[in-house]
Amino acid sequence: MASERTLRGLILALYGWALSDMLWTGSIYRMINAGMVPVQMLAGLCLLVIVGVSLWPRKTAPDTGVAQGVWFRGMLYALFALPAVIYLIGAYTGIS
Amino acid sequence: MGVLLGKVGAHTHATVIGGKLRAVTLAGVIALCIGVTVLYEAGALQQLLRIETIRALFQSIVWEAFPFIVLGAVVSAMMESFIRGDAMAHMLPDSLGGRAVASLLGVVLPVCDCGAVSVARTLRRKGVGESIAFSYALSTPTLNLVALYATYAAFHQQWTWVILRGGAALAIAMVAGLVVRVREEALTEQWTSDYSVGPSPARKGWALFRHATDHAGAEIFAVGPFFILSALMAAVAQSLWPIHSITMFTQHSLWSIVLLMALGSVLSLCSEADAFVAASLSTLFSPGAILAFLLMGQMVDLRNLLLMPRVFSRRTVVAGLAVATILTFVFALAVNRYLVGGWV
Repeated sequence: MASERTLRGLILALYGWALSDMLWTGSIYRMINAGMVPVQMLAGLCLLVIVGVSLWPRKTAPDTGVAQGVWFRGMLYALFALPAVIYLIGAYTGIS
Repeated sequence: MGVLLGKVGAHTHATVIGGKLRAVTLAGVIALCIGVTVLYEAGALQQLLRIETIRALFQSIVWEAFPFIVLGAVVSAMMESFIRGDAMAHMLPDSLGGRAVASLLGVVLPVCDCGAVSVARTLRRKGVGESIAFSYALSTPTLNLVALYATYAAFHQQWTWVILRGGAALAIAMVAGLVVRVREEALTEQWTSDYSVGPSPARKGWALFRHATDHAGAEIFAVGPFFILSALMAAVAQSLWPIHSITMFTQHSLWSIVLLMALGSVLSLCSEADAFVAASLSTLFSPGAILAFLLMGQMVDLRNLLLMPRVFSRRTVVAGLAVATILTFVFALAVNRYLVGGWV
């Protein structure tokens, strides 16, 4: 439905705003919660695995409800991969 | 001919009206955007709506909870891909024992409130009854290792608060599940139509792993949007809640319980953070009110109000959360009676 697509577009815009604002202000390490470093590292690793495997070339389309378009899917997964990388970098620099 | 011309005329008239309406709407939207921009640049909007506060709160909620969304999706995907279709239903039968196991499942699974909905969806797909899955979804935000440890740490290593919070959450989840069981929604084909029902002989090795990652990604996209929306709503609520109202009812035991129940619901704090906020309020409010804050904030909060309808029927959500609210109030009164010495 058009209304559901509009809502999802709005939510994607909100997520993009949260991500870009964090990068723009340079306070990306505010994302790192000192008490939750292991959880954030684990989640970051899992997210990178999910993104990497999902973007790996495949012969048949996935049988789940994930968006089919390659470019759209790639963009979405890149948006989710970026915080994963930040979690890992921030956790690594925090514990080193 | 006259009829045909009449129809054409009516269509043209409707088209003109529609076009004018769209033009007016577009002009209104543009004017609104210009007005908002002018106010924002003048600094009036920030003072009126506390944009900076909302922005900071929104980001902190999203980035602190996002890992748990991912972990919930991962657990859900592993259950979906590696557990037989009927195994979960056998493990969580529609009985008192099954309901107790479901309510305590959050203690062993590495998810908290943000990831519980994904797991509840998978439980439903695996044939678990709606009321059993609801008991799980209601209890897990409180009965998970993160929340229990945070409670222990926040209240200065006192086991009393851990037992009170955990015990009350368990009881509420089981009773609410029993209540919604009366008219629970049966498992329909809708639950199995979008996803495969589990391990398949055709899927092994890389194919099975890929299926699991696809499922995890789909869960993130299914739950994530509503979580982000709830985070924005919680950020707005937290920034606009009048702080002075918190101290208005400290001397009224009954109304303080109601106030902290509402505060817990509106703030929608993460399960590892609410215990520390509650501990900071413990010098102002009765133990019952603090317990009510801890329980309501994880059971009847903005996040659950948006996410639960994605898994459960509206009837179940309304009835279950109403029971949870009533029982939270009752537990709070009981704690005040036995710890403080009075009902009000």
